[in-house]
Amino acid sequence: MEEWNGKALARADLATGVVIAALGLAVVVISAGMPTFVERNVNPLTAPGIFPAVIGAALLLCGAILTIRSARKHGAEGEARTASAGAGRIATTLVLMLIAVALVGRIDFRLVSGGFTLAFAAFFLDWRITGQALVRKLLAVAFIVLITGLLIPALFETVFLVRLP
Amino acid sequence: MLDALVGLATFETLVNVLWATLGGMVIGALPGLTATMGLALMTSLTYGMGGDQAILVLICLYVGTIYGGSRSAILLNIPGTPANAATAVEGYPMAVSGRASRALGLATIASLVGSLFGALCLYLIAPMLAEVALRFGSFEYFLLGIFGILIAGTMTSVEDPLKGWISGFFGLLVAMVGLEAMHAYERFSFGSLELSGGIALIPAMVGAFGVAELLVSMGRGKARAATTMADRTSVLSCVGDLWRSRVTAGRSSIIGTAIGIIPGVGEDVAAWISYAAGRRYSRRSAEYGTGSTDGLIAAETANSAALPGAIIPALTLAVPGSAPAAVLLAAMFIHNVRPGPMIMIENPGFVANVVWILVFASVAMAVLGLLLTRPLVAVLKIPKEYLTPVIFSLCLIGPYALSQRLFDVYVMMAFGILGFLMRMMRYPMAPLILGIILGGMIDQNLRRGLVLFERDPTAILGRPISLALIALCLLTILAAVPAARRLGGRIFGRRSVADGASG
Repeated sequence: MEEWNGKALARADLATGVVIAALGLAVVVISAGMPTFVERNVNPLTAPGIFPAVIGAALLLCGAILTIRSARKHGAEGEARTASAGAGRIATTLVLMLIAVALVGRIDFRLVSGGFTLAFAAFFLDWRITGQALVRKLLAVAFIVLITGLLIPALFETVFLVRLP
Repeated sequence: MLDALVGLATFETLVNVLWATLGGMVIGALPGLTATMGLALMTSLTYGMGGDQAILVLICLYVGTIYGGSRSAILLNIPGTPANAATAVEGYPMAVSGRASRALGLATIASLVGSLFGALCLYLIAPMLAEVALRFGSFEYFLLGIFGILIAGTMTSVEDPLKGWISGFFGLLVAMVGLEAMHAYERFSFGSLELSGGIALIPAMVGAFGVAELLVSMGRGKARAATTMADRTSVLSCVGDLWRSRVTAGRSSIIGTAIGIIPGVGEDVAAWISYAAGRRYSRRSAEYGTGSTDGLIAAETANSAALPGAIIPALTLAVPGSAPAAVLLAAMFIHNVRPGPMIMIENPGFVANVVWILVFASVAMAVLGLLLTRPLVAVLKIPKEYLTPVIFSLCLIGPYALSQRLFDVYVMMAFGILGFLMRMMRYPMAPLILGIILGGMIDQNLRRGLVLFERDPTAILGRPISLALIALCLLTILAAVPAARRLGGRIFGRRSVADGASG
């Protein structure tokens, strides 16, 4: 799956331009509400909201420019992208990753790591094979599970003295 | 300098140089695994090491990764790291035409020359830059940080600098989350105890470079080696090629180091600029695009020279020259090394150590690269379906290991998704990371500077470094505005016509 182009990119830019401008505005408003500590005889020029307000203003300006520019480009020529096989692979990978992250801290890390590897292999490897090829592939997957489920956790636990989640 | 060499010359150093450089070469050779990702993951594996050896391992890995990316660029036409994209333009046609071994050998020799030149520049320039940096006040540091964000945004997103700047400003915003240093006020934490601790750099980087790269890589189809290494070539013939392109190699070494020094820009931009310069000025420019050895040398020399270049500002100004150098900078802080202008005073031997480490890593890279060409090619055949779970497991445990907070795992995943979306929408990652690393420094120096200049704002006019930095910031912004560019083109166009007429 390649980067977005043409109309798809213009559409995405339009949406992100609005989001960035809104984020910038929100940052400016929140920063303006931050204390200046003048009641403690602190110089107001050291107020914690000064630099965030500058960043917010910069984001607001950049977001506005991006929005206006992509709104102009929106009607221009260009092919809209259609969903590809790559998008399906990315979505599956992302869902598996999110499940793994959600499980970290809830069940033993070794199970999360090893389970992710097994699920990943089940989804992405071609299992329409038989005989020796199948045995070789199963051995390869078992080896990867050994690395992710045992070796990596053991390395962090015993060498770096990390208490696993 | 010799003391540093003697101090480093141990068996432990030799072993660490060899495995880390080789590890870097393997990481770099595998498409989808970048230097930044490798360094971010490796940082978590160096927590238990002594500071000197940890930095040695990370620098060797960095050198190995940038070089290793040339393997897949030449053989698969897929750059192993973004720094090797220009290499693929010439290396792949060479490989397709039956000159794969020659291309691989030439890339090795060119990388060696580039990285040794860069190491020499580090030795010569770092003390001078540290000396200059001692004259920097709060406002100069603030302006340097802002210039870094602007120039990194412009140069890593040449087609659309606006996106580069948005990426940088967003990074600065991320750095604002949590307790600020002057009044211990919690910014943008919204009552969350986790957010009040701030967003750590390593989880953000592992997400933005690790998880995002994995997602992008899984979206691509299967890559197959389109070439075989049927040809045989000797080191001497590669040296001969390099000698014939010595002007290109020299120019590329200088360009690479200079681009490396510019904050946040990095090896990929250095390689492209050097390649473009070669295409324009080389006597053999007609061969470019068809498997030119000159073009390959231009790209590989520059990306390797940019690496020590990127370490120069990281060591002397605590401002990284590239995204991997940002991780290296973070790792230095983790291992109690304090980079910045005082490094030559507080830790005078450290710069010399880094120079020798770069020399060791460069030599190891060349030796291992020439000896292990064929085994490294075999590494390219490992399917990403096997590699992805291993890398993701490291992405999960690496950020957690730093402070043992589950929150860091969530940060890593959030930045992974954000990084993936940003890639799809063509936002560069380097300014984001530079923003996160420089945010705190810029914020504190702005506020200190405002207090210093409160009574007399015109005092800034008496500070030439500040004025130069303000001019650079304005020029960087104006250069990205089409109307200003057109106006500049007209003015300089007219002037050159007038010069031509008077001449």
